[in-house]
Amino acid sequence: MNSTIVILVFGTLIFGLFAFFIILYVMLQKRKQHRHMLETQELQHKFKEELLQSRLEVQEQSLRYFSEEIHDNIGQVLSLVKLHMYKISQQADSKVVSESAVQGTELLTKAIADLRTISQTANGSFVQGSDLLDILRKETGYVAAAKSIQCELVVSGNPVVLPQEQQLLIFRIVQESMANAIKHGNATEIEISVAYEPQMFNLSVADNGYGFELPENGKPTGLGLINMNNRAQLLNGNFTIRSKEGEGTIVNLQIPMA
Amino acid sequence: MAILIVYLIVLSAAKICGLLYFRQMDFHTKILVVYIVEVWLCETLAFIAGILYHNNLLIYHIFSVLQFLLICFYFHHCIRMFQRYYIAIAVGITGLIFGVINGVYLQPNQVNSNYLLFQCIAVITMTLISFYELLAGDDDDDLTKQPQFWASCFLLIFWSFTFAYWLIQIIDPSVRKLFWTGVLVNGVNIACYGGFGLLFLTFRKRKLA
Repeated sequence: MNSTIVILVFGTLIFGLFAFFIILYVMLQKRKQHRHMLETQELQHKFKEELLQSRLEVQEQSLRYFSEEIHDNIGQVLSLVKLHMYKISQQADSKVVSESAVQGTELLTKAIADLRTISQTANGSFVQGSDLLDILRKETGYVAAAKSIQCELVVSGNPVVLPQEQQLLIFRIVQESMANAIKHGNATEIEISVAYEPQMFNLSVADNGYGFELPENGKPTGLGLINMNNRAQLLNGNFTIRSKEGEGTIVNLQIPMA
Repeated sequence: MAILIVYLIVLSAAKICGLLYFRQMDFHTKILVVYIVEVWLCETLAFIAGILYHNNLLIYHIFSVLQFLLICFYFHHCIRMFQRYYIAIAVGITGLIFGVINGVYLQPNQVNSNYLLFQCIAVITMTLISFYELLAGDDDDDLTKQPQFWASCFLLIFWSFTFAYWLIQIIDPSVRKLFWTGVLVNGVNIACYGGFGLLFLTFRKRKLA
């Protein structure tokens, strides 16, 4: 009888352990797979982010070079031209020539001011060093004056100082949206809304331009839109575009506040 | 006797849980509910036949074949490889033929141990293949939230113990008369069918998670 009990106990124990270890092995292996998959995803995400970052850095470098060239080269030349025009207006014998020179000087003053604004907004270092709302006001003012369109900036909530890199990325998104609205949408009105919420930074750029039909998957296809989307990804933000032909476009960006 | 009644109560509870949430379940789990209903019917009829006629061999002969067919049908729907080549269906049909031959010619008035051993080996193999497919799959779902994983676990535990029990009985037939054998067999039955009941009860929660 005793040997029967021993057989029974050992037999069931062996098979019980067999089942237990098989189940344990499957669970551990699947957990390992899951961890490996997460690590791979994280690496892919990191790589993608670094790639985006370097691509945007190259873009920023080109813009900085362009901005410095405007400021140091064209700006200086135009200032010299302005000086000469001023001299002509002062020394001209004929009244007609003098008046033309004065008009030329005024136009040159405006051109130099516009160039300076373009140079400043193209220069990432300048944007990073300024307050986001100030730089947005400057940009809307410049666009309104230069392109003769109604451009408004609406701010709500308590403004918070954002990190400089974030500020530059947000500003570039606004610039791209406005450029698209003017260039492709032929918009006459642009409204930029900035809302500071406790947990969220909301930005929207709405225009009354032609609008366009978005692809079915909702993913942007144009280079400008792709760049905006990439910048939003670097901000860990949610980027959406709502548009329909004849109904304008609304670009939305939501960034969670740390 | 007391543990047998507990086992029948647990089995009835598992059946009720399965039938309560039957409509919300996916097809795989519905097959398992039918399986549990079949086991409940078998055990209840066997219990009654045991009291009335002191012989319930015929019931076990018939229902064990049906049980095996249902398990094969379940694995046919669970395992993609089986679905592609109809392996589980082939195994089920083989089991049916062997069950009839064994019941009529080999062990007509005995416990169908030959058939049960065959059934144990086949079910354990199918659960191991289902585990392999769960591991090899690309889906990154949490295993503990998959009813298929738990069902395979319960089937593996149940049929491993059953296999051990029948093997030991071949080595030493007196094992059947031991008090602890009854406790062990019914204990494993209670644990596994109770597990199935919990699986049915938490099915919706698992799917939503």
